[in-house]
Amino acid sequence: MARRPNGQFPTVPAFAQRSGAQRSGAQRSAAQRSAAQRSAAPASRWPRATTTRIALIVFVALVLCFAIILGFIARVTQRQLDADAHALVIAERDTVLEVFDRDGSSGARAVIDAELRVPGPLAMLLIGPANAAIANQALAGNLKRWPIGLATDDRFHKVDLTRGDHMAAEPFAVTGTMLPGGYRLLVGRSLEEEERLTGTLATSLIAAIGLALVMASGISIVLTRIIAARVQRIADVAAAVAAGDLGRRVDVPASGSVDAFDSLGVALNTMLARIESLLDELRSITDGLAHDLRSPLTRMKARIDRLVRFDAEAPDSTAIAAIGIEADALLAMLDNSLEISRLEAGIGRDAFQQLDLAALVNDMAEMYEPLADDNGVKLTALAALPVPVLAHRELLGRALSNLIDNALRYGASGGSIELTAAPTVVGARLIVADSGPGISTDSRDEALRRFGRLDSARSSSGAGLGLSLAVSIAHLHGGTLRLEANHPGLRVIIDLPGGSEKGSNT
Amino acid sequence: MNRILCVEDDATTADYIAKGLSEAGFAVSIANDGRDGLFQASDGSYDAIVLDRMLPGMDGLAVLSALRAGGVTTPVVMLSALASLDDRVRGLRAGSDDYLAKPFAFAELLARIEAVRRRGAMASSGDAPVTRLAFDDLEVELLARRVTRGGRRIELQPREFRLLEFLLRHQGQVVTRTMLLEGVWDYHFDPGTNVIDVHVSRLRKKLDDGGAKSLLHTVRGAGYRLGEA
Repeated sequence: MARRPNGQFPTVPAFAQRSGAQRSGAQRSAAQRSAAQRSAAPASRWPRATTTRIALIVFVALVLCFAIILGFIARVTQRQLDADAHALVIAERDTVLEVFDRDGSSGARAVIDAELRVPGPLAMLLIGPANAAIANQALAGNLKRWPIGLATDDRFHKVDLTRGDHMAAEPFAVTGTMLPGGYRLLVGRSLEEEERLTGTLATSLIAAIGLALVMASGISIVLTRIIAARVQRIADVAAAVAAGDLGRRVDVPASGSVDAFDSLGVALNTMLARIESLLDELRSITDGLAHDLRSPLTRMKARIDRLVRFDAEAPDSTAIAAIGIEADALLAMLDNSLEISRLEAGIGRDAFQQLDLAALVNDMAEMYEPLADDNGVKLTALAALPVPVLAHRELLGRALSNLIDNALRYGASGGSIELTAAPTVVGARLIVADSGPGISTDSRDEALRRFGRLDSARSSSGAGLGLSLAVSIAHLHGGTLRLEANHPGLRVIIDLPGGSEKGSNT
Repeated sequence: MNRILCVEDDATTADYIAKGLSEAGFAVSIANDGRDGLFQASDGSYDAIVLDRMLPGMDGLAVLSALRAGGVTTPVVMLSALASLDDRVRGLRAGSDDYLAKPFAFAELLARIEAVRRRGAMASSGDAPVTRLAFDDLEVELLARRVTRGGRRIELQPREFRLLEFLLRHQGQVVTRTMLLEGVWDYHFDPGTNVIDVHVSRLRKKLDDGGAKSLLHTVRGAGYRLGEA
């Protein structure tokens, strides 16, 4: 069989690369180590930055908290002290006023002198009328003169005054009152206590800031430790997986997990499980492909060797044809493998068309009936009514062809094969049922895997991809393929979604 | 002398095709890239063109579109490493007469070149629709769906009838199994098993019933041929 000598099918170079990568295992593990280090470096850097950030946030929060509380206390206390001071001043003033009303200025002077005899917080001053001999003179009190600008409006003003018996000026809450006859009275109370309180509060605030600093660092260190420990556990798992331990998983509580780290762990575990299953699948495909390629290649090589050694002068054409047949089988296997990859990538959906599944089934039955008949198998199609679907005619035909081929190949001869096309509630169903030995329940998953040719089937020829291709074709249509027992035999069921309502009006 | 243009950038493949076609009695010219191919093909002097899909300079599909746009109707068999069904559909839609996935059996290519060449010749001669096909003592009335051999009526299933019609339309040529699957069943995959062989052998049995000489021959490694032995 004349085949192109150096075919350029893309799978072969890809394979060469893959096995090349496996050969340089030492390089790869080195690369993995450095990758692990790279991923570990940011993990150890970010908690430190986070410590500072958390410390800063806690510190600001604490200081704000303290400031608000202290400010509130200061305000409330000050208001209380002010109220007390004002009450005292008003009481003193009213006493002087009362006495002045009753006994005149001399009585008032006596009262003032009596009040000031005991040292206290009071400041008082009585000034004579402007038009008299005693004009603007201090008649009584512990102040030398009326403070400049203080109006006699009965309101409270905050003024710095120097009492006669004191050296320095002190803050006072004072009120000036106009008495009958032009006399003016000043009564004030020292605010020194309030000043002292404010000072105390300010000192407390500074102390509080110090305390906040200490607490903030403490809290942030503890928090960061907790976070870093949990993150580190996840990072460790990631690093371990990167280093090759694919089975490692993050510990997550079995039930009712709510916190962000747990959901991160769960998400990571899901991702790792997916990666692991993909890798497993890839490995089994690669292994399967390599395994299945090896035997025909070995046979081919043996034939070629024999030709070269014994028949180099006059090559036997049947021997060369046999090599051609082996090559065909290899190519078919590679083609199928490529086609499956394309189907799994969803390529081909744009060629979907409205078609009658029953017609397809009848077509295939008609195509295979003579072959089945020759093998002593009775092939029947149960598809009397039209089953409209939106599908890829070629691919569905190919899937059916593969399934019938399998049924003929592995189903016992002398039995029967039934093809069914029927509408379902959600779409359409194709069934290929044979009366052969079937596949045991625990081997069915294995049978559906790519290259998952059952060991019992490995001895006979066939790419082992027919069923996988049918599965991929079902997937492309958004459908499923499953295996069931047919009592006796195997029943392959392809369920296709949609289509029936779309097709009912065509 | 029939002239074939082979547009193929891979020297080994081009050589392989040229050698095989020369042995089959064709005069073969080789173009190494798309531009050269388009230049050589544009005068329409070739009987058929073998066109690789992936070419340096100018893609095979672009060459084909340019040729068809320029009114060149030379039959084209497209070769491609892109074997999937959709690539095939795209190639046929662009105006190729046939599409063959790499790697291919040379017999397959030869059979397909013969087929498109004859189809091209038939189309240019502008025959009226054929209603009757015959070879030797075998006669087929297409409208009445009547098949007789030496005056003896042969009853055929509808599919067998179409199979015979296809073979008769390609009489004297080699038709491959995939050509039959495409022409008679309208499927383009390779069923792998000997599905087609069984159909052909059944048809042969019906045709040769009564000890007449065999008209339908198996061509080893290639397919079938209806014609003289």
